[in-house]
Amino acid sequence: MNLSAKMDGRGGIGLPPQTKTHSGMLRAHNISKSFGATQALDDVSITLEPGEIHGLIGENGAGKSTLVKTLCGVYRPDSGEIEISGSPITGWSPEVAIASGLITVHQDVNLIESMTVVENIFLNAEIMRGPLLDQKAMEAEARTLLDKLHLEISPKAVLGSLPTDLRKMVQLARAMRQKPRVLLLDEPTSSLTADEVDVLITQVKGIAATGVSVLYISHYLNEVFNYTQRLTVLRDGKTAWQGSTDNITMSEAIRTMIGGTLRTSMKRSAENQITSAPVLELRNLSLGHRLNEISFDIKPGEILGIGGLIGAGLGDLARTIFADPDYRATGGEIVMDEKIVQWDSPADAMNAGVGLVTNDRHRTGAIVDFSISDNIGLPSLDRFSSRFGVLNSEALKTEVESQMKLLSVKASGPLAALSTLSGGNQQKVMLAKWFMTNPRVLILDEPTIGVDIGAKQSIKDLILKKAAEGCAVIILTSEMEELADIADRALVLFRGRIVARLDKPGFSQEELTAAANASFEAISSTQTSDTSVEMIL
Amino acid sequence: MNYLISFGRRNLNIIQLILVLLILSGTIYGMNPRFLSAVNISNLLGQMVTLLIVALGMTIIIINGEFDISVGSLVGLTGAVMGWVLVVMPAAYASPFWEAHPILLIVVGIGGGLVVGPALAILSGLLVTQFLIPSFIVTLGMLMIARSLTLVVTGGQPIAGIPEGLKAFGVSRPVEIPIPFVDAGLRLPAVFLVAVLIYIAGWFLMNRMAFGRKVYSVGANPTVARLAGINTTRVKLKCFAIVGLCASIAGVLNVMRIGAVSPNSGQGLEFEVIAAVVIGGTSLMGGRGTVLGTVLGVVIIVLIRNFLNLARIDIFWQDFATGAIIMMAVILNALQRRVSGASS
Repeated sequence: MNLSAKMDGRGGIGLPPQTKTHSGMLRAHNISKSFGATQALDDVSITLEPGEIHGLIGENGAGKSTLVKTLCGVYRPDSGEIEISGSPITGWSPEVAIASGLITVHQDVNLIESMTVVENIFLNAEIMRGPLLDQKAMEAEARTLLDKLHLEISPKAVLGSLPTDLRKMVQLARAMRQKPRVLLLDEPTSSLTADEVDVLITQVKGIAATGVSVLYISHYLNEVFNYTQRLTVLRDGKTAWQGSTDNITMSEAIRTMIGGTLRTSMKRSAENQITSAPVLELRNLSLGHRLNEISFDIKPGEILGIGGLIGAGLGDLARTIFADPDYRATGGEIVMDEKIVQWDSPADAMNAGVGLVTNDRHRTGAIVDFSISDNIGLPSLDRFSSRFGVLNSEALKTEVESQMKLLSVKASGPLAALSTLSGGNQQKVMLAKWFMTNPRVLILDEPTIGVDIGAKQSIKDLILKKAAEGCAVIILTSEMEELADIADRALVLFRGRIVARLDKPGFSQEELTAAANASFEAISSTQTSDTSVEMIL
Repeated sequence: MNYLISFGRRNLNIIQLILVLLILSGTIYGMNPRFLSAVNISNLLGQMVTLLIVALGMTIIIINGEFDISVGSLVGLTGAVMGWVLVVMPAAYASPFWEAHPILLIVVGIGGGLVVGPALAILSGLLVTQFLIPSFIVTLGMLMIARSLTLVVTGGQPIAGIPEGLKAFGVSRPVEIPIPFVDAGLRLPAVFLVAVLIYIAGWFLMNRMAFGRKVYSVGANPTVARLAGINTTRVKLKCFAIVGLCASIAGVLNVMRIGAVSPNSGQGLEFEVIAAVVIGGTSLMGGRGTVLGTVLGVVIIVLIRNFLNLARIDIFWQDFATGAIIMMAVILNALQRRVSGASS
C-alpha cells in the first residue's frame, strides 16, 4: 500500500503543516491516471469546500473508484496535485492521507469480523493507559459514537454477528472517531435499509455542519440529488459536468452520465420475435432479504437482460438460479421445460442444461494457475471420459482448440496458463468453458467485466451468435449500454426487487439507467412512445 | 530445442529433485562405496515401501486441499486387525471351520485390514465435509482414536505367528535386474513391486482420469470447481478413501515384511510422509503437486536417513537434520514460485 511513497524515492512523508483553521478542504488539480492503455482519469479537478457535501456520479467504468482510490492514497496519480487545507501533499500513501485527516469509508466493509465493535472502531488507534489498553475509555467513547448513529448495539458485540447494514454503520463510526477533515463515502448506502439511509444521511449532514468536507459517491441518484450541494459527473475518466446540484435535473444528469450519443444498437429486428414455449421460468424466487420474489421467463434463442447496480442483487440471482448451496433459494420455484425443478447443486443445474459465467474470474470463475485447456474442460470432464472415468485427452484437446478458434482466444496454445492471458481473453475462456457444454440456458453475470472495448464488442457478437443457435441467454449487468445493445427484453433490479420490465425491443440506455437508479421521475420523462415500461414498487 | 526448454520449465521441480538425488547419492557413495551395492539398494527399496505407498495417498489428499495426519495410526490399526483375524481369533475361538480353510482365513485377514483404513478415513472425511471442520483437527482426533484401538486390539503386545506364506511373500525378492560386470543383480523385493503397481495406478488416476482433474480443481479453488458442476464433497470423500486405502495397503505389506504385528507400527509416520510430499513439490495450499515428485521426495528422505546413519551422525541430531532439510525444500519452492510469479 505505501509502495507508492517508497517508489518516489523521497521517503519522507510530506505532511502539510497544521493550518490555523481546523476546517477541512480538499483540492485536487488536474488529476490524470492511466492503467496501461486505459486512461482511467483524464485531467479531473475537484474542490471540496469546508462543510460541503459534494456528490460524485458516473456510470461503471467512468472513473469514480479510481478517483476515490487516488484521493485516499491507494493510487499515485500520473500527474496533478492534491492539497488539503491549502497544503500540497507529497509522498502520497494511505497513511499520509489518513494522517492528513482524509478518511475514506470504502464500499466494502473492511473490518475484522472476529473482533468486537469497539475493537474495530479503535483498531490501530487504541486508547492506551501506559502500556495497557484503556478498555473503559474506549468502550465509553464507542458508546457515544454508536448513540450518535442511533445504533442500539453493544460495543462488545462481535462484528461477525451483526448484519451487513449494521457493519456498515460501525464502519462509519470508525470513520467519525478518526476525526476527519475530509470524508470520502464510497457507495455508503448500497447495503442499507431506507431507515438506516436516513440515519446515515443525518449523521453525514451533522459531520458536514462541523466544517468537514464530504465527497458522496453513489449510484442512487435520489440520494445524491436530495443531499448534496454540488455535483461532479464523470464520464470516460473526464469531468462531464460540475456545478451546483440545483442547476441540473436528474434526467439531464443521466444523459450526461451516459453521453449524449446513442450507439447503434446490435439488437435483432422485431420480426425475430420468438414464439416458442419458455425454456426457463422463475416464479417468485426469493433469497432471504437479498432477492424478493423474482419472476420472469425466457424462451429459447432469447436474450434477456437484467440490469441493476451494486446492491441490486444481480450476482445473488445468478448463483440462486444455478442452485449454488451458498445461495439456496428461500422461496419460489424454478421451472424448466414446464416442470418444477429440484436442483440441489450446480451439478444438477448443469445437467439440466444451464451454464453460469460468474462475475469474478479470479475468485469464482476460473483457476488462473491452470492451463486454458484445464479451465475450459472443467465442466465437461465427465462427458469426455469413458465409463470407467478414463479421460479422452485427445478429444478434449481437439474440442478445446476448436472453441478457442471459435472465440478467437489469443494465446500461445491450449496449455498456456490462464494467468498469462489478458482480461478479455480470460473472459473468452470462461465463455468457451460453458459454450462447450452446449447449454440451453446460459447465465452471464457481468460478461464484459474488466475487458477492453475491442474484446467487449467480440463478446457481444459471441453472445448474439449463441442466442441465434437457440440458446436462451440471461445477461446480468450494471452496464446498461450492453443491455440496450443486445437484449431483446430487459428487467431492472433495485435492492433485490424487479422495479421495471422493458418488454418490447427499442428500450434505451437512458430508461435502464433511470430505472436502476430508482429514478421514476426520470424514467417517465425519458420514456419513448413505442416502449412499454411496467413500473413496480 | 524450444520444446526442450518448455519441457524443462514445466518440469523444473522434477529436474531439481533428480539433481538433489544425484548429489546426495554421489556424496553417500563417496563416503561408503557399499551404498551402491545391489544388496544395500535392495534393502532400501524394501524399507521405503510403507513411506512410498502412504505418501501417494497423502499427495492426492493434499492436492485436494485437505490433510490426513491419522495415516500412521491407520497403518498400525490395519496390522492389528489383520493380526487379530489371523492369529488371535483362531486361537481364542478355535473352530474346525478355520482350520479347514486357511486360505479363506488369510483372505478375511487381509480383507479386514484393507477395510479399516478407508472406513475410518471416510469417517474423517464425512466430519470434515458435513461439519466443515478443518481436516487437520479431525484427523488429529482420528490419529489418537486409531492408535488407541490398535493398543486395544493387540493388547499392547506384539502379535507373532503370522502365516508362513505371507511372511515368505513379504521377504521375497522375485525379480532380478542384471547389473553389468557384477555377478549378483539387483533383486527387487515383492512388496516394492506392489508399491510400483500402486504408483502406476495412482499416476494414471491423477493424470489420465477425469477424477484427477477434479482433485486438482477442488484443491485449487473449490468454488470454481463447484460452479463447474463438480460434486466437491464426493471428490473429497473419495480422496479420504484413497488415503485410507493406501495406509491399509501399507499396513498389510508391513506385517508381511516384518512377519509380526507391532502395536507401535506406523507411529510418527505422518511426519515423514508429509515431509516427503512437501519435498516432492506438492503445495500445502492444494491444487498443485505431482505423483512423480512424491516418489522423488520419498527417495530423498530415505537417502538422507541412510546418509545420516552412514556418516555416523548422533541419533539425537538426525531429526534436526531432516527438519532443516524440509524447511530448505519448502523455502526453495516458495522462492521459485515468487520468481516464476514475477516473470509471468
